Amino acid sequence: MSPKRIVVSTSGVPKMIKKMADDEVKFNLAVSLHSAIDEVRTSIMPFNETFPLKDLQEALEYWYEKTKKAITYEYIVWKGINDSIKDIEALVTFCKYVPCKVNIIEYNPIDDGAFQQASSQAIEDYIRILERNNIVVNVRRSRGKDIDAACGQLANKS
Amino acid sequence: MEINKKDIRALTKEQLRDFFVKEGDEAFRGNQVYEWLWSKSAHAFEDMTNISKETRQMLEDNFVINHIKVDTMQRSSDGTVKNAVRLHDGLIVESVLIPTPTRTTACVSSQVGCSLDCSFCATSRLKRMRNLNPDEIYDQVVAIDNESRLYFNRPLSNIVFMGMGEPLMNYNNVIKAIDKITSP
Ligand code: SF4
Repeated sequence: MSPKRIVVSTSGVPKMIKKMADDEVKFNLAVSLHSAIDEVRTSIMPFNETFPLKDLQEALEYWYEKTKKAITYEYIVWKGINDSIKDIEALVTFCKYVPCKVNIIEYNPIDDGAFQQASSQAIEDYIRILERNNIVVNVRRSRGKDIDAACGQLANKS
Repeated sequence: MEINKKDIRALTKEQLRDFFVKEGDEAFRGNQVYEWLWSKSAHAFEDMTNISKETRQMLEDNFVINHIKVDTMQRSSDGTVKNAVRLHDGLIVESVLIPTPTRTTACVSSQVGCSLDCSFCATSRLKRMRNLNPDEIYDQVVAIDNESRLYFNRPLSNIVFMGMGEPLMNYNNVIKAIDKITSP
């Protein structure tokens, strides 16, 4: 299989992204971004405290410099967490750093319900504002939800 | 399970060649065995039909082939297939086959559990047990490829490392697995 058909999806470990760039890997890179605001990202992805967005940005710039490969940002929108206009504007700014596209992913609730899928209005706002800024955006419908096979659901029932 | 035998797939091609030379055989025997292990996905030494019986027995005495086993397989109403894969030490990871009209994508795991702790993710609730070896990552891909051919009549077209675990926290093994997957 061609490495062009392989995507490595990371939550964004800056040091390792730079190492991959140095290794001149041929596969594609996706980053689970979920927020372009440090406080918000740290609240859902605690390691962001150690590797803040500034470091991630710098690593991604390095990656693009070396590989000339655009990056895919995986992005889930949750109700009350990252569904405001401020969140969208931060994402737009982040998307200007390196060539990229955004995948908005439908959220699959895991048992306890602390996270809820954002309203369709919020998703539409994301799409509209990103597109207005010439950023490529796709919406990924969730697959395999009934068997807990969807993104972030693995091991839900084990 | 034999505890003192080595997992043969932990050896590089060079190490296999050296092994045969030390055994008084030809180095190219290492290439042949390597090909059985990695291109033909052999599950047993006795499948290696171009290797002499004595040599196969000798391999049997020294090594094991630690293959993963698909423990349970679930199919979703939308065609998605999920495998729970049992590793040689009994731990379990999951991989997923996602069919669309134009592609079939494998979503594979890189760790048992995850090094990180994203609060929205089910995997993060599990304790990270260990990194997967290159062959355990590779085998997930082979298993999904077989299912893709069986259920959708086409080989796997894409792979995403988006299952359980943070692939960059198991970088060396992920790279080794990708090398095997992409080598012609
Ligand atoms: S598997 Fe991915 S989303 Fe889940 S905790 Fe690990 S890095 Fe975060």
